Amino acid sequence: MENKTAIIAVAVIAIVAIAGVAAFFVMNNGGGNHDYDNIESKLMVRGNANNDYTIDKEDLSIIQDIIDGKRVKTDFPMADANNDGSVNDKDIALVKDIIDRKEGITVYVVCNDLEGKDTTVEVDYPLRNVVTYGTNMQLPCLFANGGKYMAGYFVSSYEIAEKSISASAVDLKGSTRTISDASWANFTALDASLAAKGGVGALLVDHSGIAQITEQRKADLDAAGIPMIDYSSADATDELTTVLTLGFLFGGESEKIGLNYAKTGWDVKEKIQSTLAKSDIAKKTYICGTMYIYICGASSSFNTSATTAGGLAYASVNPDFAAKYTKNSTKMASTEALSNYTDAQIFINNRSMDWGLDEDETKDMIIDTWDHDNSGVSSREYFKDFEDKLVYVNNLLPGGVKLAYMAHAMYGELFTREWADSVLKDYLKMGTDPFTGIEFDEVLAYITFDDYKKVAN
Amino acid sequence: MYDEKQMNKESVIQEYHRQIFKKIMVLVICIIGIILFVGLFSLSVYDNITITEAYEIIWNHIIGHEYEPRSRYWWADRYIWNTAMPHVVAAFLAGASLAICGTLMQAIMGNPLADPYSTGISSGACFGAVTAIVVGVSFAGVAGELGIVSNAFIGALIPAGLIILISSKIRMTPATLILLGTAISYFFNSMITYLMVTTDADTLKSAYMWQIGNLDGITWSYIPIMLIITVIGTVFVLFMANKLNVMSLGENSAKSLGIDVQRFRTISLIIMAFMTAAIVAFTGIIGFVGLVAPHLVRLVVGSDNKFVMPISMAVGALLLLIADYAAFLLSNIPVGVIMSIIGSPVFLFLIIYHTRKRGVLY
Repeated sequence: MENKTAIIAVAVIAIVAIAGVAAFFVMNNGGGNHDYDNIESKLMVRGNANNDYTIDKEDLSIIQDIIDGKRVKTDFPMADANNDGSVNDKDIALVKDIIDRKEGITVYVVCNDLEGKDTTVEVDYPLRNVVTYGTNMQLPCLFANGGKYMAGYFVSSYEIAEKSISASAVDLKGSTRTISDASWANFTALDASLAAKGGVGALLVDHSGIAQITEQRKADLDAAGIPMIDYSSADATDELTTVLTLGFLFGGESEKIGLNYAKTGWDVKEKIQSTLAKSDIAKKTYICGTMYIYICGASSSFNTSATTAGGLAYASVNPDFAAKYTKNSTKMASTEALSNYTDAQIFINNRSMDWGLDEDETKDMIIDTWDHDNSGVSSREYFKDFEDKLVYVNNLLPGGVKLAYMAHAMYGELFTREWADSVLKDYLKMGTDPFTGIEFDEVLAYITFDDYKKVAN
Repeated sequence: MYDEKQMNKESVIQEYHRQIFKKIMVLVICIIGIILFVGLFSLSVYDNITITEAYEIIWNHIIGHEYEPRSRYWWADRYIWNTAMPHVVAAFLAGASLAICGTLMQAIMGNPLADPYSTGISSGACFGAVTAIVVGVSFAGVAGELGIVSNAFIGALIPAGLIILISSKIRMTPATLILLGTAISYFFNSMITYLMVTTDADTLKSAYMWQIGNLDGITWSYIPIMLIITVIGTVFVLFMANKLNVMSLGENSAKSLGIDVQRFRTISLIIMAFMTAAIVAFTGIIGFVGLVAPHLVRLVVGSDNKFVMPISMAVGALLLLIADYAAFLLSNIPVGVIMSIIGSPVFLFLIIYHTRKRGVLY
């Protein structure tokens, strides 16, 4: 009797073990040692019940389980595909249409509202005739090869990086910081002119510029039925989500590009996290900067990106610094602003730099970056205590590339320059429109003091 | 003898009619000007809409006509009614209210340089607004626009409240009022300066921009308070016009004609404080309207406050609309700046012209 019990026990254990191994291989899809499902960033389209990077039969299965009472709706908020507050056969029907990529359906996209809280907007699939506002939304749109679907834009600041904006897209004459009444009138006139094609499909907004979408303008959009898709895409991880989601919404080739783009970035993030987990190196303290002489606060997306890249915010170890730099970005009050904080191990300054540069343009860009004139005072004066710890990272680059260079800046012994460069090269070869015809040497991704010294001499 | 008397009577009647005609003409010109600027503002950003189409859109909106959604006229209608019209109405109310307050102040002070801000109201309002912007503390208990407005409103009333409190303890003459207002202004200005020098550059800019005076971003939600207080205040002031005429004869004359001068000044101050606070809380400090409009009107219609008051309102409204449109044409410079640029040469001209013609300004 005892032998029989033991045999049964061993058999049960063996069956569970084999099933577990089989499940492991099945769920991995044979794609290597990656588990994208656990990554925070995900496809922000309702119906993506399991919060992964696509909408497929797994989501259908989860929704069916909820309907059958086998799962709880609150555990899968994205299962409510049509955002009507309940999970039922209508969601099943919609998800099936999404899986089939049926054109002309309405999909429900999760994004930010004016206050930055989650909201859901209705979008026609596939998304067309979009208007963009904010570099941190315009570049992701272009990286998803969505330039050809742009009907207009409020501002374009980068001649080469943004050259894939459709030639027929209308310049609405905004600026990087404001949408004037005249610009908004241009936007509404564009919508009226596209009436035969259904009008503007969506307004894509970078959340850092949301102050320009006033209550009145939001009311205009709501009255016209124009969805506003607002993401905070300055953060490297959020940028991957934005490109993935926009690619999905554009459909076709854009969806594939978006997925490849996001997966490459997630690979970089995973490599950074797993390498640091295995290493016994202490976390490096960083200060992030932007616009040459602005210090980033804890809520800044540059800080969150640097934390993702493995760093420790200097504000978390220096309460005085934390108390002084509370806003998203604060201009350095003087050239002595950093004199009390020289124990920070790295200063990562973020600058948006166009590409397609020849050798001379690259040199000029490096010199201007390092020696920038801030109302008569050179940036070098502000960073005189940090020259060997200061690096500049190109903010226009894909999120995965920025993470790689940030990780290299902080942990050069673990993440070599060659590795970071290889990440950039992967993106250059990916087939995204902004990088079409661009060679590695034409992109200024990362500038150190040594780079400056070489060209300055 | 009879012919001389008849001619004198006829010339008096003619002069009387001429004066009435002047008053009516000024009013008509102001009304036409205001209507014109309503149209100009309506098509300020829609250059593919004509001015007659703009008036048509306004009229159609009033009668309830709806355009096809997302058509050119539908968008223009939305812009005109949700952006242009609140802006125009705010400019109208602000100009009218500040002008009548300026007229009132000049009458009760007997001082041609008095304006709505003479009692330190502007400094109090600035202090309230800057406190909300820099420190984030507000009476509304919320950050953002509502906090700034509520702070500015309460702040504007504090100087007037102080003056009224002090007036119950001491004999208040016009000179005393002005001096008290100056002292209070200095105090609040020092507090404002302290707050502004201790803050960062971006906050400093926001605080400074508020002080200059601006009509951008005004929505319909701002209008009810401005309108209600302006209308109620105007009704009171117009009823007081005859007493203001008596006050202009001098304090002793007014007393001998039965006016409780101290009490009358106090009531006038209270009305003026509320009216001005209701405007500056939303627009910031727009100068010169309250100073220049009454003088312009007196140049044409004389000094009878029964006429100066309402016509000043119309002239003040038109002046501010002109300044605001000029500000828009000059790439959105704040209207307070334009008003100062327009106001000071006009005021200089008035001084020189009036002094040459009559020997004194007032």
